[in-house]
Amino acid sequence: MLSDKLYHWFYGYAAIEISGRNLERFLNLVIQENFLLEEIVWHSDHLLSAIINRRDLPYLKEIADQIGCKVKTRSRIGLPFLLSWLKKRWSFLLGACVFSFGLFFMSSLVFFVEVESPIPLTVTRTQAVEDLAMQEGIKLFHSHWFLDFDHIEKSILKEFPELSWVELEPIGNKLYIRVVEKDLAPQGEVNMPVGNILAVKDALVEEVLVTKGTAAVQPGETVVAGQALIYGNDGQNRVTASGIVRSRVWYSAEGSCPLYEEKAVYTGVSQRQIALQKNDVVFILSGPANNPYQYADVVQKVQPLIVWRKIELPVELVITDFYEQKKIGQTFNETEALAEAEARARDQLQMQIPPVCEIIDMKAMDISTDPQRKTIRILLETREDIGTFVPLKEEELLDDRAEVEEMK
Amino acid sequence: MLKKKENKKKRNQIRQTVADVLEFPPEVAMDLPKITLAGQMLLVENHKGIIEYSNQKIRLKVGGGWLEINGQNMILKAIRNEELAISGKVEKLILETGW
Repeated sequence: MLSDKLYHWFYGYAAIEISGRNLERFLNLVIQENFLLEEIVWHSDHLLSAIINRRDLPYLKEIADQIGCKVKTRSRIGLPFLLSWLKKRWSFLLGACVFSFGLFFMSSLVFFVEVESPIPLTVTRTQAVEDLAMQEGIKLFHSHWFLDFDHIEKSILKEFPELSWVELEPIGNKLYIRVVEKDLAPQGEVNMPVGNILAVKDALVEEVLVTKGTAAVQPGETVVAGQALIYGNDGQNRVTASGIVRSRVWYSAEGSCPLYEEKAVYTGVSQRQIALQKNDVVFILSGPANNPYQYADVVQKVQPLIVWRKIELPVELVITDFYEQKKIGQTFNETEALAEAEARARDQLQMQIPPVCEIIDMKAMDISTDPQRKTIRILLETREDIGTFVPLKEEELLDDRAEVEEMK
Repeated sequence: MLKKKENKKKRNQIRQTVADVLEFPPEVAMDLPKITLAGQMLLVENHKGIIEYSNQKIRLKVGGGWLEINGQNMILKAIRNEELAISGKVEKLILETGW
């Protein structure tokens, strides 16, 4: 075990060879004297090897002498022996220390400086950053132990305002200056298209917040889809209209569920048909000629046959999968049918409403007319921003310019 | 000589009866060896000494008899006053006691 080995190494042990005629007797005497002998390996009837604690070794030799055996020390292993060896050769120890320190110091010397960024730099020049770092104290073939990294980093950030983050990291003999540029917002609106904000659905306007342009509607007005809400015009120039028009919007959806319904479920059995198709001619390579099941979900994939790189054959590979289904009848009582119908109506509504909206009111009504089928209508009232930016078309802009020239 | 043997036998019988009544472990009450085999490691407790040792056969003196261990490449991992650990491929154990 590792702990035993460490224990032996720490206290020191000797690997010995015991030779003689009465080896069993020798072992019994060792046991009697309470010495701990380990790893006893038999080599021949007159030779054993073992390991023993270094302190017990002299006593062991005494026992061996008593019965005419010989104990020979093969090696001495462990910390005490290593220390005594080093004591005799202190210059070697000193040399090893000097060598280790030298190697450690050499590894701290800066031979190369590299500026790198996880995202390619667009504004900053890497050479300029490197030059500044050199001015601030980095010297080639000097140790980085004496460099003030904080000071250099702050100087680089001060000199290059377009940088958001700087870090100096020495790895081996290379000093990395890692920088990240700020993700600046586009300057001005030079390239922004001019246009209006239009309503995407019919609604009742509750609040109009204009950040750019002119309001075209007032709170309390009803608007229809496509109607302008904010004009992209600040009275003098065309601008990019922006703002929020919060309005009340009403949604309605219906869901119905019969008291008895048949559902198709997969049986888990399927077959695949592989065919080649050229215009209307189909040549079946494998699988059934037609749909082999009474009820089946048929999934067809058509793909061109590529021979090599972009060279295609004038035929298509058609892979058709037939997944067998069976019809299962399901009976609902009236309460279950109403709940199912409401769930289906909710699913329909979910598809209509935008992901961000405030639900003000929701009403579910039973509008069933057929006694065998339950139908639920859900009315939903929401508050949401109904505006969407629509840029002006080229013709509208031209008309606009012509109008201005006429006025001149 | 015969009387001595009979006395010993009687003594052992008394010991066994006492051990049974008091539910003592037999290795404690009757000085029997306790042998534990775990994989390729055999531990013998309560031995009285080594009679014979080679890498294929180890014979130990135990209370009232001897224990023979046959195997391949056996080495004595450690020996102490009453314990002995053997590692190697153990093939056969023979316990000969006079009980």
